[in-house]
Amino acid sequence: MEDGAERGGKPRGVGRLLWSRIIWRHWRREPRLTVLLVGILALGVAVFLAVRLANKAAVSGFGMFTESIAGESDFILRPRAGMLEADVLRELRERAGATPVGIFPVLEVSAAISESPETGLLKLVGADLVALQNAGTYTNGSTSVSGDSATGDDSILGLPDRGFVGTSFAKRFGVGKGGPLRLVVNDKVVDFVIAGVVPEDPNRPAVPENLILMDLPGLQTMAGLEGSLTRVEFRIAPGVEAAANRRKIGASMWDLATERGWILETPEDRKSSVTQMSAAFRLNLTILSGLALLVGIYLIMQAMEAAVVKRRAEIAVLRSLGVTPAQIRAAWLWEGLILGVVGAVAGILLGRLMAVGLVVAISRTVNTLYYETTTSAVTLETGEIVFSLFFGIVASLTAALIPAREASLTPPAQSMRQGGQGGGLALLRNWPLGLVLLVAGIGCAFLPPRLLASGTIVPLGGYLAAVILVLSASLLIGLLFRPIGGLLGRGKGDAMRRYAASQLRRPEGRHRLTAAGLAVAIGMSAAMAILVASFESTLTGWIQQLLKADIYVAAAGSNSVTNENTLSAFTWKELETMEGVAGMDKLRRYKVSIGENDFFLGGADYNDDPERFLQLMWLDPPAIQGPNSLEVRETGPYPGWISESLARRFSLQVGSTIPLPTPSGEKPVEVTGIFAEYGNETGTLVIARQFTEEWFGDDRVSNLAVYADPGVDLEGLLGQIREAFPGVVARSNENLKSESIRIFHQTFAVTYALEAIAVIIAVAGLGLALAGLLMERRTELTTLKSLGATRREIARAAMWEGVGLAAAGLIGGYLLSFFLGWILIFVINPQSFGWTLSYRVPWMSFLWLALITLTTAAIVAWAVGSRNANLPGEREE
Amino acid sequence: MKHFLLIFIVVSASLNFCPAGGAEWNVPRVGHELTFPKDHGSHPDFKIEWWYLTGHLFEGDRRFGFQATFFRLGQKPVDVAAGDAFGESQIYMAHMGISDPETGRFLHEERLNRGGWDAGAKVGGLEVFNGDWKLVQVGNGMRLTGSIKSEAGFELKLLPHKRHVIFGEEGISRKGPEGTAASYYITFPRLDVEGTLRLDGKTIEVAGEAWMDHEISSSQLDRNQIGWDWACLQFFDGREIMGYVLRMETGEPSEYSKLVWIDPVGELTHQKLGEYRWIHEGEWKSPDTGAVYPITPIIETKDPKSGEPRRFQLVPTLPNQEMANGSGGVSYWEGACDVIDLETGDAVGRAFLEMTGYADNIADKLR
Repeated sequence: MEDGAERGGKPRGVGRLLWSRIIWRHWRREPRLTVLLVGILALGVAVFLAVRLANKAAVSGFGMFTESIAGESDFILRPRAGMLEADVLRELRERAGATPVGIFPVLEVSAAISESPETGLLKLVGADLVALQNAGTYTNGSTSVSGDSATGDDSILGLPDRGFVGTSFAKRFGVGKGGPLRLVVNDKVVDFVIAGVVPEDPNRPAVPENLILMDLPGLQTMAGLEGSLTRVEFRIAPGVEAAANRRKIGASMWDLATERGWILETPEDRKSSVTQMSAAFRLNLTILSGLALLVGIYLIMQAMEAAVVKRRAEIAVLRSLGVTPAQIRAAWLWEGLILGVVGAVAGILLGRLMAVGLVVAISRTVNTLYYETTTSAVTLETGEIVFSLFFGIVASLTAALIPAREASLTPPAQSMRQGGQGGGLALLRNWPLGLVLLVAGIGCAFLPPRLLASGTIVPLGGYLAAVILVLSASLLIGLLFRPIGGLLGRGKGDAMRRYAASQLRRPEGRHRLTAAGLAVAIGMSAAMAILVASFESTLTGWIQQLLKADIYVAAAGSNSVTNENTLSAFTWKELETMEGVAGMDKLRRYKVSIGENDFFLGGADYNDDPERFLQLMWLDPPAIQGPNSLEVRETGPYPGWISESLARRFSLQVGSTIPLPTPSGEKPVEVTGIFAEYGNETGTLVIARQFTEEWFGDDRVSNLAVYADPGVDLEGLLGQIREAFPGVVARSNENLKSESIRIFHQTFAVTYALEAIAVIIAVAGLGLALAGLLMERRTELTTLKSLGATRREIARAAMWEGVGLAAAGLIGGYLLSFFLGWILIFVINPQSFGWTLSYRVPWMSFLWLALITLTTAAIVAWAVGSRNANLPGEREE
Repeated sequence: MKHFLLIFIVVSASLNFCPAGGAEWNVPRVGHELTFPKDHGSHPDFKIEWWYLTGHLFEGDRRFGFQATFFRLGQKPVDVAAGDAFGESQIYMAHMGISDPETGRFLHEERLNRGGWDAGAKVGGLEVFNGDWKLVQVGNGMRLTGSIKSEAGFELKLLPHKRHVIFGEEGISRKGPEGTAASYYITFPRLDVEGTLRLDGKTIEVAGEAWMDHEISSSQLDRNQIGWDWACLQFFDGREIMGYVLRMETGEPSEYSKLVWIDPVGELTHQKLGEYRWIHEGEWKSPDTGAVYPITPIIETKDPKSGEPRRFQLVPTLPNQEMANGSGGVSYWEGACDVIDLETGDAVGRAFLEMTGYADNIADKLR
């Protein structure tokens, strides 16, 4: 110290002095606290990063065959609705003229494994296996599917029952070359043979584990789609003129696509338009993951603030030696920076590990609800590392900012009185500002949402309102201490309880900070619980109203909205005439695109029995209601019903006209009704199936709702259907309902885990804060002890104080959650998903959360009190 | 005949197309009269057919070599390939190459497509295409459109300087001991070329001379043959030589090897092995395949005009003109050369030299 004092005037000397006296010394004395701080920060960064990484990995694969087999395409051409005809290929080549470009037609069909449909959808990709041999031309290397695996004894060209799989597929299903596989394609069972296993190549993405590659004409035959293509991919060969050629092909194909009403896009466009479907879900996850970090900021602020108090004596001495407030502030910020770097690095490593587990959960949800994806290995890119590092450091510095100011304001030793400042944080006492923020936050909720270029609606006002309300809660929480202290101190009895109550009635900055951190964690978790509960009750009601038929029939495959398997006219006509079947509702579903946005088109054919016709949940009912009320008109505009999500995404209302793209040209559809739908957030347009049959030239259906004759044995009928049509999945009403609820809970599984982490961090912070408070009150504790207070009594006092703090956090958190829940349900949810939900508070869950939090807080506080009771009064700490 | 083996290996090795079981392929017949321009077109009743262009292009003093090859391999005999988008009766392979001695570059690309929307050959007249590559008859000549990745492209007009010739005896060129092992071998020994070449993002006007083979057959080479050396020589005096040796497993040349002199008006003089010699000279080791090619061979022959023995050495404009590791994993050397008269040391013409069966993979696949 003397050394430092001598060189006190030189900046470098001061730096070393501050480092050794303030930062390093305390880290060495209290390694556990330092580790805890780094740990909290690391956990926050880890959760945030893990969710980001897992989100990315979960939706990485769409079975883009060229990406996994021949590298990424330059352009993709696809129709807005229906399929492309193979005849267009010659025209594309003609348009390309002398510009060299590889043109790869692709047909994609979904399928399921007959014996185990629960394994999810398989994707059959049909590509020209001969032309695919040229892939090496476009990748600067040899990447053909041939090689030993592709070289069978027989040609597989044009064969409708042969295909190649990747090694991950072979491993997953335990099949190899020559292995038989019984597939269900649409409603047909196909005995399939694996012609070869494509070996993995470190230079290209792995072949997705649900992908089977077939020769294109073979797949056309197998799926009954002769002459049809899903899309055409373009590849520009490398070379000096690659950029020029890409421009030329892009321009000529763009013109052609515009003429014909097709979509020309790059793989990035394609990916974003596909992932758009689950964008809202994943955005919510990301924001939720930020919660853990936010709570972490509170805790670090709290801990560093505690350090200021502890080191106050030393700071005062340093100030007397001539160290300036600016230098002291800088020392604190340096500490924040170092903690931030170490915490973020640890967080990145931890996050990378957590992502591996999380990706399974997220992809399962995305697979179930949105589309079949294949997960890729979680990869940590430089960008993500930099982002997380930045995020962790900014969080740590933000947390250090207020304590740094606090430390710099410490007066020189002469005028100092230990503990006198009591941990200021003047801002937290400013409850009027809290009220202003409360009003401002509520006001923000009414701001209109932002529409991103990608077509995703971001409820910016809603998110802003949530952040402001969280801040407001932090400022208002102080108001709770007086009444809680009053309540706790009421009556006679335990002196320690009354002692704790008196502490709460005169709250210090640290009390406020701790309660604020807890309130934020509880508030955000409880708000999510409100959302889930509201969602569940709404969904259950919707399912009850919607699912009124006795048996539901669909082609095998997952419940994913992109299951493209269909039932042939033969199948549904046979079913319709089956004994015991009274009637059925038929639905044919297509994916169509207007502009950059995909949505679903349903061709519905509802049964006309007045006793049991399908009743949708109307938000804006059509003029004509009743059985089979979808109108059929001879000329356009043709009547159609739209879902709430579609109405919101395209700003549509009853009377609006939708220019519907179909293979027979654009058809005007007039909106005659708006219904509630919670099955997907991309939106649905329903028109009479008669139209889709005519416009798409297709009499297949996606699913059927079967009504049985009164008194028919439903189990028997189910068995009969399954036996007659082994390629279909038939479910009873009860089974489908419970399946829907199960999927719902699966969706929120990740959410629960994130909430739990936030609450754990907050309770850990509570312990930390109490330790700081007791440390500060050493003199008081010594007095108490000299008055005869035992260690147990001091621990009990700490416990009551901890319970009081937790109570303040809980009450504040729940109050906050009602506001946040309101924003989630009435602002964020309708804006990003287009779903109207009814508000429902899960009181039982709240009660449990409160009990668990209070109990944990009591235990932690007791332990901290017990440990601190023995601290010698005058020992310098 | 020269690419018969190659195409067989490439296609069978890469995808294992089924041999047309029990199908009857047509075979070349003695005395059959070919009619033109019809027979410049495709013959899908024969199993194998190719249109093969090689030549030398000039822009002032700058010189380029080019190769453009269209192969057809029938999967089952048909009279006319059906109009299916994804046909199964024909497979088309094509190669393009450009050599640029000034920069030392050899650019090349290989393509494989099934007959249908992106590859095909017309019956009844010359019109073959594979992706954006195309060779069509235009008036008395033809037009060739080619490219190599996004590196180079060319658009050439080719006019016969002299009429086409048909090699072999009584209209058919024999390949081996079996009667069916034969082909119709039609050649334009000298075509005047002019057009444009795109290289390094610039378009340049070029002119020069080319050679074109069109060969039609249905039969396979002898199993004992492991490869061949082939060359076409275009002399400044207006004459040409087409010659090849088939190399046997034993190391000996096959007796079915041949050399033909073509005089300025298209009269042919056939020479058998013994009447000419093909001497392997020079060694160049491929950095890509490791194969060692004798790239400066010497041809000893008798000049039919003077009756004098002549010794010509072929000297490549660039050592690396190897078509390395195409889609089918088959590599061969095909490149532009100068013809040096070893008596005088003078350049007396230009040539294209082809050598197959030197890269390991060909030899392996042959056995």
